[in-house]
Amino acid sequence: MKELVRQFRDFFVSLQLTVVLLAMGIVLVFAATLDQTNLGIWAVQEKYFRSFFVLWQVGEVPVPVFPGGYLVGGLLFFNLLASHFYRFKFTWKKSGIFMTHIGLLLLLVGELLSGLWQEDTLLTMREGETLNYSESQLKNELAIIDVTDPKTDLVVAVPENVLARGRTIEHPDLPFRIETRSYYQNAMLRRRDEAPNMPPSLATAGLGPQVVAIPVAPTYRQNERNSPAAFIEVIGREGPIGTFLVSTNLASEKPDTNGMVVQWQPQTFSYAGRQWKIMLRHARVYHPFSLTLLKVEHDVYAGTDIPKNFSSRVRVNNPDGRDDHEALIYMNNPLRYQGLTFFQSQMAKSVQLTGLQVVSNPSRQLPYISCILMGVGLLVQFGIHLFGFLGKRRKVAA
Amino acid sequence: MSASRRTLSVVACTLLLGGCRDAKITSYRVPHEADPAPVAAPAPAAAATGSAMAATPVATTAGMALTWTAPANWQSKPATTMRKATYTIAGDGAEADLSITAFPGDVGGELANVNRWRGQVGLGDLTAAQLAGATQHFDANGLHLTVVDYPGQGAAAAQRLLGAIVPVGSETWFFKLLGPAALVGREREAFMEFLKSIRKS
Amino acid sequence: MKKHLSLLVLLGALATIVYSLLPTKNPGQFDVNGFGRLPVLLNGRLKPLDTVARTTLLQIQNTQSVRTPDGRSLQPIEWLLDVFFVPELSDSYQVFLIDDPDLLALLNLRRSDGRGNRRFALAQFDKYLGDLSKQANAADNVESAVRTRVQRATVQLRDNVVLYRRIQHSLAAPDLKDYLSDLLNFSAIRTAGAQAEMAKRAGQPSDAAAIEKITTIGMAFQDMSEWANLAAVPPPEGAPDPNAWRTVGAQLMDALGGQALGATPLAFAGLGQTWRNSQPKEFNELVTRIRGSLESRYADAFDRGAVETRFNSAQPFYLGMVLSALAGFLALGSWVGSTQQLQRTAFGVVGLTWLLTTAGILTRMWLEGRPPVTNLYSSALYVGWGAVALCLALEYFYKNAVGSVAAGVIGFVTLLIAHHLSLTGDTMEMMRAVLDSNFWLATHVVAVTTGYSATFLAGFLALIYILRGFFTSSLDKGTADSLNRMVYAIVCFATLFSLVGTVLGGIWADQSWGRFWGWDPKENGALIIVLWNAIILHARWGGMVKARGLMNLAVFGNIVTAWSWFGVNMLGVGLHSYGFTDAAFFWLTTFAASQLAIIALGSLPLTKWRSFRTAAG
Repeated sequence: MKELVRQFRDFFVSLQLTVVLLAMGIVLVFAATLDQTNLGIWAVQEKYFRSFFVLWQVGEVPVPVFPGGYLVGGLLFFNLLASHFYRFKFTWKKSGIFMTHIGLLLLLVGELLSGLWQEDTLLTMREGETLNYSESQLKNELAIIDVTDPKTDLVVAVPENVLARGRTIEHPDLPFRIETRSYYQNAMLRRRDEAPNMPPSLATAGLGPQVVAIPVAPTYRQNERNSPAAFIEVIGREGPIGTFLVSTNLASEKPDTNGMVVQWQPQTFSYAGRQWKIMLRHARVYHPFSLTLLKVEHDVYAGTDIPKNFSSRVRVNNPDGRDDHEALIYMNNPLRYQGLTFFQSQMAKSVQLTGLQVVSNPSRQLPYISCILMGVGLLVQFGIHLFGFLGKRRKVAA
Repeated sequence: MSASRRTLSVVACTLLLGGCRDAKITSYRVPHEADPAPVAAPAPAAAATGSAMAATPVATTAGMALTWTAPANWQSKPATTMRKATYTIAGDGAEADLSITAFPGDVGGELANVNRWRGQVGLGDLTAAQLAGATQHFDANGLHLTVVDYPGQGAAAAQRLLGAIVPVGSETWFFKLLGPAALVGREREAFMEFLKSIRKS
Repeated sequence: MKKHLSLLVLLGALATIVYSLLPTKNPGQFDVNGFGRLPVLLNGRLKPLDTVARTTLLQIQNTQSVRTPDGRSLQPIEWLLDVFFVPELSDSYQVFLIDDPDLLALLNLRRSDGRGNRRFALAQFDKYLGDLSKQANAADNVESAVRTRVQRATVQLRDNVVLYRRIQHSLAAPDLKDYLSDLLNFSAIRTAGAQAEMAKRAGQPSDAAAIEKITTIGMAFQDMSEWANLAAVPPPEGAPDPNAWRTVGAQLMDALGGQALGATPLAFAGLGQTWRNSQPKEFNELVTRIRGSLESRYADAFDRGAVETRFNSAQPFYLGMVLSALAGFLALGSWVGSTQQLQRTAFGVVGLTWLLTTAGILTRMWLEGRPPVTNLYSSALYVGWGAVALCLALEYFYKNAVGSVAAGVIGFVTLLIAHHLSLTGDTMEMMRAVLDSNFWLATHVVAVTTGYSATFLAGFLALIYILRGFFTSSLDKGTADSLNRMVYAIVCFATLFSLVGTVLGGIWADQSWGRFWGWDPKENGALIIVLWNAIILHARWGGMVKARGLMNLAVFGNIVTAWSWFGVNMLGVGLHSYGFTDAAFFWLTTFAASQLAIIALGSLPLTKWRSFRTAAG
């Protein structure tokens, strides 16, 4: 048994394992890079890096074909840690390697943490607008909002994938239940009177009957986003209230970066003496403060369309009254506030619209520390080698 | 041996499941949000001097599939996700409406679409054999346009419809100008010029 | 005697360099060099017309040399003058590269009709421009990565013809016979035309000729305003943005609308007239006058322009390519003849070449106001420069000509790659907003590119080890050991720079768009290089590989680096269309295959290696 433990340990501390894991890392990264053209960058991250195994669909069954990022990274982490405990003897001659490895450990931990903690959203606003939320660039949600109270809205947010799964949706804050009748991952909407030869709508209430939803192939391009649509039936205790068509295309309320405007009013209904609003929208994250967009600037190089600079002047308003200041956000100069970082991301000058990327990542300092450790470590290590080499040559020459 | 293998498979399954996080329904309160006011139409572009055509080509939605140049007296309305673009042409106290829409696929084929348009101005359906005689065709900027011109009948007698069907890649684009017969007749030439200005972006 | 010969070679190389730097003389009485230094705004940068001439020629015919049908050789700027001002002549110069047999057939051209069988004059195929444009429009609808060879060639030729036409409409109206006199009398012509038009509308008798005249001129102006791509008219004095240059066509359209004509269009019309009519004195005076009107306001542009034109004519990277080849041959010769003399000469030539490319890169940096690497082209220059610098250090320590051979070959190949990359136009481009950060360009990009050069160098040294050891008996134990140490040292160096560079890239990304690592193709490429170098080091430390294994791993590093450098740029629309018709892709796969072949060779048992077989026997 002891022998077995020793073999086990030797395996985990061996340099052979390191090399094999590094090679697996290369294969993983290479495959993921090629697959981006099929899946897009987000799906690739989930499939290859934020997973223990890379799965292939064989018919209906997902089959693990290769270790994923968590497994390779995790094993590398333990391999490194274990070898430092059992094999590696600290000497000044190896201090550089030691530092590099500590830096690498930190980097791996940092990547894991940001994979788990980092939240990316987009804040799109027009000049003069004030907003206290940002929107996910990837996820959508069905929002059912009790708007009866003139001061406060009660929002029940149902993630898109719950909707897509088609199970009955119930929540203690809702006096009714919701059934998904039909769901499209990506759909385009047209007015029924302009839409040729379409079957009758599933919808019985709201805007649905006037609109047709035409399913189209999902997109994975980096600059495009799917517009899901669903027919959902709202059912009260006494029976059905109505079937609504919801779609992110019906929810956008401001011009997108191409200047396109959607003029749909939200769909509402009353039930149990309360007023409800229903919409499928980009998933929102609310912040405890708001931003006002004062001015956007967009410079190009003379005589070209090559962008030279984007900038947005914003005011930060905090309801606690302590904070009310202006900031200028431009490329390579973000605004950092309350653990969030606002980066200049998109811009549509013609409609005075700006898109700020909002990132929260509590572990964002880790890569900096590990970068310094690894850089200095390698410098020290190779410096020791180089001076040793030069010293030897001098001796030979003398 | 088999026991350890079973352990391994259990561990693997746990790990696999761990990778799949389940999203939850949440609820929260926020300050009441007013519904957005309808967006006002942007001011029409200043008429270009000396030329009937406004100088700036109009870019369309996300796909950026087609661009065109519209006469200055056609007033652009904000586009919606429903429509790629809309123009209003005013005259004699009446308005004609040019709608530009795009659909995936051939949406039932040319005959069905021509007949749909004919129905809108009170005309009866054509048969496949009659279709060729009731449409015009021309090529411009690498696009093939099928053009129709139908004066209204019956209840729609005062109306006239000018339309063009343009296959673009996997989509079909529809340009439909519908309005009072006199007004549409006056704009016919401008509409044909407009069609010739359509190009891929 | 031998000593003198070596000195002679070095002096010869030096003399060539010095000669290339001498100011160019005007070929005739016209001050074409003065004309070439005038600045125009193109693609966001004020650049001398000389640069416009050269980059355009490179783009449309892949070379800067022009020959007229009667056999005269033209400088690029003379060619440009003819394009501007003598269109009927310049259309007959054979400057359009057409190599594709199907495209030649479409245009009814025979190879034998072309200069060097592949360069043709617009006049030879302008009858078929309609067909060309039809085919090119059809090809436009095909995603660029899946176009066939003939489709690519068609689109390319169409774009080149358009570029040529745009330049032709930039300074003067190519279709107006009396352009200068039309401009001089413009105000009268415009008034007469307007009056005649008014009369005609009022139904009174009108001067049809006056209407015709102003219509013709107006249409020519409109053509110019639509086509011109060079902005040659500076903003009026005291304008808020000194970079808001406009095209002559735009200025003329304003004049058509009743505004002042301005001095610049007239001056260029005058240049055109004097150039056409062979009046050098007047031409030179006009050049001086235009220069005088701009020099005080755009002193910086003129300073840079003067250096840039000198830099253009010196072509230091072309000369560097030739000298690299020379150094490589000398160093190889020293192995065959094993003479110290040749070895030292090679070392000297490598040193000179390196100084020359250093000067070239520094000049580019000064002209652009940027760190050395800003685009793919400059990365090729820098990769070569960095590798040669390392070679010089190796050669200084080891004195076995290995460094010189590597420097010669790597210098030659990277400059050749750079030359091919320069065929797409001006290599000094403006930086997009997101990349516009000299700090990160100077740290992250330089570190990563240094990593590329070191990884390539390690791979190339390994290549020498395998080829020399396998095919010749010249790889003695001493050389083999020093190659082993060299490769190891360079891999260490490569690891340091690629790792630091990659992590710095992460920090830049975190600073700029809030995420340290996004797994995008370019980042992944850099990461793979780091991982590969780490594998080499760990495999060696763990005793998993000895000298030969190290060499094979290092050669594979070439494939890894080439993929990161170029491969990720080819990841276009999708795997199904991985640009199989793309020439770059062809070279990349060929390179990868050759490296794999060498690894296979390196994996053969040592008894099959000539060097070790003799050593053993």
